[in-house]
Amino acid sequence: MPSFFSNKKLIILLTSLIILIALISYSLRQGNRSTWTEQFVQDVIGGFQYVVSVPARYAAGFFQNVNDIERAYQENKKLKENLANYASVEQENRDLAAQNKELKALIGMKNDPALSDYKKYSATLIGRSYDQWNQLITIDKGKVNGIKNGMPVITSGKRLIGSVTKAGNFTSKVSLISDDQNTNQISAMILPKKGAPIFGMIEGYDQSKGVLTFAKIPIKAKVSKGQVVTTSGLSGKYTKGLVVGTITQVTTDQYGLTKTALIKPAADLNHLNYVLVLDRQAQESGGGGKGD
Amino acid sequence: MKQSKIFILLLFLFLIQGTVMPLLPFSDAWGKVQPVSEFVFVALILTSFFGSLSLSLRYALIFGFLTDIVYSSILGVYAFCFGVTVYLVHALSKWVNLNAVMTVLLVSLGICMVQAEIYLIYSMIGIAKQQIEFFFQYHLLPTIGLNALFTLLLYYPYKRLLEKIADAIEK
Repeated sequence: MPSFFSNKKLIILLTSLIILIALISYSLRQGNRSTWTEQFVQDVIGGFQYVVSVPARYAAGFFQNVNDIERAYQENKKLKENLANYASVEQENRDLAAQNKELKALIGMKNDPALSDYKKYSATLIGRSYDQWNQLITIDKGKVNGIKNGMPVITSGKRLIGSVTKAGNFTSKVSLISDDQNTNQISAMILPKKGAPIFGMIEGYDQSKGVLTFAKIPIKAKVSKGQVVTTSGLSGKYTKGLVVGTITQVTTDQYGLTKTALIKPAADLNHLNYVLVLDRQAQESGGGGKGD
Repeated sequence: MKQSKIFILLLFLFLIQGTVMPLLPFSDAWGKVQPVSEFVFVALILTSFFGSLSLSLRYALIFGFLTDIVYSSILGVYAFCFGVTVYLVHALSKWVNLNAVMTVLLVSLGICMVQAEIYLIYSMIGIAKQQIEFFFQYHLLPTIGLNALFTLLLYYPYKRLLEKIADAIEK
């Protein structure tokens, strides 16, 4: 009867276990930096991925269209209701924008990076982690296009989806907000209709419910279902005003010191095709993107 | 030279996993299920059954590391799990009569093992934070189903390919 492990094989197994642990601790410590070998492999595979993903997206787009036709009627009804408010909201928006500009000019606050416009790079999704543990996507823009580590990534309508974690030369990896390694760094806020903004931190993603946890909200803050959560811009990593999602449930944390809310992400993280990478260091105000 | 066919097939499956499979609307149809396509791993096990073990182990390391670099943020996990599991399943296969049904069963066992290993390692370093019941019900079962189906599709053509180039592998 053949035995599973002879002496020699046991030694090989133990050696590879040691190598595994060394590699894991190395890559955990390494964080966002990547070696040139990793970047090279990522770029080469990225080229192949690009070739495969173009026809795949075409085919998927067709099925998506069929789905969309089914949904169109209901969406149309909803949109018609919203359209009634549109004219007044637009007028209000224009007034406020003009007012804002005047006030800014008044106090001479032109080049504050937190308030200035940002540069946008559009990118296409060419790959995605297929296991559910890593929530990473690969996009077809890299350092040559101006992408750097840590830039926030959004989809249409300024909805936050994640940030660039490993920028290669021609492709980059984006860690989604549903990735647990990424989420503990988003500083977010709620802007209630009356009163001061409520700040908190987004601290993790619940896969079974598909919601983000918005924690460390002051206990006295009035938080309710349906409020929109946006990034606060306090952490310096994410630009201010990117939509994270809407609150679905509010609870107190286990010690009763702060409130915790569950947020349904605004962006559909399962159907991403085209994304925008934001560069918040844009110098001149006036240039760059003005939202959508 | 003929071995390169296997490499090209594995690379193609590797690309399919990351580009085509996430586009399929599984989550629309059945809610929370998370079927993971481990097509490369299925092909690796079949290679160890009908080709040679050493070749299969070599490719397991290569594609394991590729998966680690391209689709994940931690190095080494997939390479280790692929290597160990291919070896164990191959050892088990010596005791049974390899027909189509038995192959699918063994591959399913291998998928089960590799998923559990990755879940274990990722849980230990804090990447996977899934309840174990949720893992079994929504992750493991659909994954086994999807890959068993793929094994059935790949079994006959791939076996024929391996038998055709068997002489090249032995040398």
